[in-house]
Amino acid sequence: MARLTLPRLAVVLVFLGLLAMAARPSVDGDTFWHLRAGTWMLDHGQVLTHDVFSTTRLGQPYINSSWLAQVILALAWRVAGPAGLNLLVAVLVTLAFAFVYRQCEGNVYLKAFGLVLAAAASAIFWVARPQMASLLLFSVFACVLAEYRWHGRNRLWVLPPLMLLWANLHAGFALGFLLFSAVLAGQVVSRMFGPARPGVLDWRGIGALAATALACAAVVVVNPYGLRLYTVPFQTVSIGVLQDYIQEWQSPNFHLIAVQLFLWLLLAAFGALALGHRRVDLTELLLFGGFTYLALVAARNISIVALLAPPLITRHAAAALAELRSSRPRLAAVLDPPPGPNRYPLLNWALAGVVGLAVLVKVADAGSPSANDLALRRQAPVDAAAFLEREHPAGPLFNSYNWGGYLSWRLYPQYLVFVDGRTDLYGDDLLRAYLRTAAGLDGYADLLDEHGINLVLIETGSPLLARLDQAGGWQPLYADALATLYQRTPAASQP
Amino acid sequence: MTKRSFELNFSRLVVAIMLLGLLAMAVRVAVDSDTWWHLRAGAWMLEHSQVLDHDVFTSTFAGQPWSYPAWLSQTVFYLIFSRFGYAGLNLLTAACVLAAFALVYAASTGGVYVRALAVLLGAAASSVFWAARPHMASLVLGAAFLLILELYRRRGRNYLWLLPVLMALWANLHPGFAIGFIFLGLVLAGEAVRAVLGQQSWRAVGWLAGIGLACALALLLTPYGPSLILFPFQTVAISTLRDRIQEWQSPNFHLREAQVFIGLWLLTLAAIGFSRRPIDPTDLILFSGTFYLALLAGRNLALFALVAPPILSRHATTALAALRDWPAAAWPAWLARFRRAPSPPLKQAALLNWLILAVVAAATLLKIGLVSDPALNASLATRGQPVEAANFLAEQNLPGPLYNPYEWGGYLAWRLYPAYPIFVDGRTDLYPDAFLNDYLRLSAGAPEWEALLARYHIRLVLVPAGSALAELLQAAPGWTQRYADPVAVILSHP
Repeated sequence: MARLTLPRLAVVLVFLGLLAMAARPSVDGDTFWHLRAGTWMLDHGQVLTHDVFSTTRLGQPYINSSWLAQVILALAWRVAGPAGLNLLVAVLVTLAFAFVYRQCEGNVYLKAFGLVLAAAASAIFWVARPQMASLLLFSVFACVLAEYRWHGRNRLWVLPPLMLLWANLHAGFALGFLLFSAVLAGQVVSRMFGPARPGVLDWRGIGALAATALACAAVVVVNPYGLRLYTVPFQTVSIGVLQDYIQEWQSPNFHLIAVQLFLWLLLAAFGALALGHRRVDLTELLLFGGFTYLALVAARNISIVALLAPPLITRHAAAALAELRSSRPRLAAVLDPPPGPNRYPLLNWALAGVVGLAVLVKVADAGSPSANDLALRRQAPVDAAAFLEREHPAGPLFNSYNWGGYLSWRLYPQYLVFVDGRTDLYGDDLLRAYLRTAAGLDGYADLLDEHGINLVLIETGSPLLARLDQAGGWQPLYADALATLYQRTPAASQP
Repeated sequence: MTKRSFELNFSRLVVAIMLLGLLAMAVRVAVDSDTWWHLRAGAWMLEHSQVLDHDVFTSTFAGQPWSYPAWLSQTVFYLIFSRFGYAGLNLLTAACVLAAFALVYAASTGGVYVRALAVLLGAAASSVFWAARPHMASLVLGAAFLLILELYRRRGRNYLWLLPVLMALWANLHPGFAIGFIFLGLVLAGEAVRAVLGQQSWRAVGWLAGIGLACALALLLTPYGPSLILFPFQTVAISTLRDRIQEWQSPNFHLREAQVFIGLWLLTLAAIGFSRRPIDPTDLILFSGTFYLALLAGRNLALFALVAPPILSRHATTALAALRDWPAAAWPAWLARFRRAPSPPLKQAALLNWLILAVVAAATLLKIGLVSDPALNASLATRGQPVEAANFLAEQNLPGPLYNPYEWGGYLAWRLYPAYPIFVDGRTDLYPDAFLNDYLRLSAGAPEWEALLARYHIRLVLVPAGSALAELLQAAPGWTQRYADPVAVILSHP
């Protein structure tokens, strides 16, 4: 049996803590249309190739690039409901950071610090959505590439099969190629201006890396949509509405304390680099700088920076600590204690046991129906949907973009939705028309008439309701603090 | 040896071109939508020969105690505008930019190219804030503070006594005087760390702390009294400000200026990573502190733009020197061919340099001439403002109170005071949060819009054409449309 020394205990505690942090209600607005799609595919035994959930895009072919992840999410839901999703997310997060931990240097406390800071910064992105697959796979890719160039451990062969999986799980597989590009660029330039050394491959190694990248690019084609999948990442990034209105595609708002942790991560990276005399590795700088840039442009990339920062921070902080040992030994002894005898092995086991128990309680609590219901009611019109389910007034329905996924999940096939989180399906024009209508701007009536809308379900207090009140021909059918439902009066519906 | 004449060598040419380039960059139409109420306030103070200490421009909060500690810059702006028009404000703004970044250049060390490039990057990162508004004073004085602190702690030249004098001036020019204390506080923290590490004497740290106290005392030398000290805190505490106004929000990196900022940060990160030169603790604290502030509120990009260039140039110079000293053997043969030996200076170099300088100077003069055109200024300075609608109101004298959107308030106060008091404008510190929330609900066309208009007894409404509120009013009984153009609509209620 492995002896549970103090450093080992620290590792155990960090990962138990991470698991506890990640085990929490994990549904967000987009979870539900993924669940809806996954359930549909399980029921029909076929992959979705066209829209079946909306009135506006019914029958239109589209690339459902997350099909496999959706099926997995739907299965987790079938087995254990929200608790299943929560546990799945927690396990994926813990695994992703285990691969990050492998790349860190220095003593265990330093590594734990870097890991916890990075995990906290990425925590707001832990939701039951296919992007969790990208989190884990990016971490694995980064780890394999780092071990190859720092330690000569060649496991490149696992990457193409993993890319095959990734391409069927989430459009974020493009991140893998950004990773390859940055590493290749860094390696080529470093090798041009210096000899091969730990961190810098020789030309043969660089060739193997390039060949692996090409193999990965080739296997992407193995998916239900064939060559068309290559264009998906570009399309998603080019949707203007996404960048203008959806928070995770916008620059991060550092007034939120959860986002500010990312800023602290940047400060820690800068500080580690500035205080240590160790020269920065170009590849690592390109990776960190490049993805930091992307994270500042679109906040969702913060989760990727959080995977890249801990190795950089710990490597340079460890170098700074080593310098401290010669210049200020007393201070260094506090920050980097030498390994001592394992005095209280039993106490360590007891501590690990207590924390493990606490984590179990947290995981169980996160799975409790009341906690998940509370989290759900904060963002989804649960009662309004129940009203629609019960009374079943005639559609078609115009619904708030934010609730499209949930309504689709609750009410399909009773009601089809007007719009939901599948921005690539709806396209810029429809989404902009939707936004103008929801804001009660000119042309709102045309859009409602054009689609023969009979029901409007939108946030209470929305400007659109003022327009409907004034225009007449609409009557309130249901209202609560979150949602208001209007119905076209029968006289007005058939002119 | 004969008498030494000034020789325009290449290094000096680079500096001269940098300064001219800065001037050319900075000379542009400087009036923005917030300039107008500063001009109106300046005009009022000159007319009444007293400092504005209560609101006189709105119908909603008239008579409420209110002051904006910038009387000196507001009156200077108004005097310049009334004497020299738009061109005067453009040149004043450009002069402030040039002065600020010349001071940043003086504070930086390292190779002349690297310094010039770093300063230009810093200038570009701050360029979005170059406007004819009192905050230009904070740009110049912030740079002056940094230079004086730099001279003291690195070059052993003690001009610290200047800081309280400058602070007394600053407190009368712009509430951004808080920046001076931020810089002093960060440097003080850094020097204290250096003292702990034995790199600095505690005596020097004490000097800095004393100067900080003297600066705080200098704040008393204003017409606003001791409560001025609280002003910056009050501004920062207005939550509506943070939620709605772009320059108080985190920077939007989809915009180009913010991209320059992140470029500056990444370049410095790389320079420090490659230079192996240990960073000075004060530099680290200044750099990271202002980076933190900039990511919290976009307007603080300007602080970072003043702090970063000297640190970038210091480390980039070391990093590049390491690259130059790289053993030639390490270079691949095909690349080594590009390593030329330095060529001997040209005989006619001096003449050529003067020629280049003349061309650049001529181009700068041309730019200054072009942006002085009154018609161009008038059209750009009032872009998006309801110029024609304001003309209409000035002629008609319709009964108020007037409702107007926030972003037009300043312009309308400038144009229509005292005939039409305004509803709201950019002076967010005047308005309580509850009022601003009412305003935001109203401007979005919320369902309770009629009750909100009644609450403020509004009888005259000036709103953007096509806005939700405009369309609600156009369809509402009792409201008559008085005027409409592609920018604005005016409606009235008997």
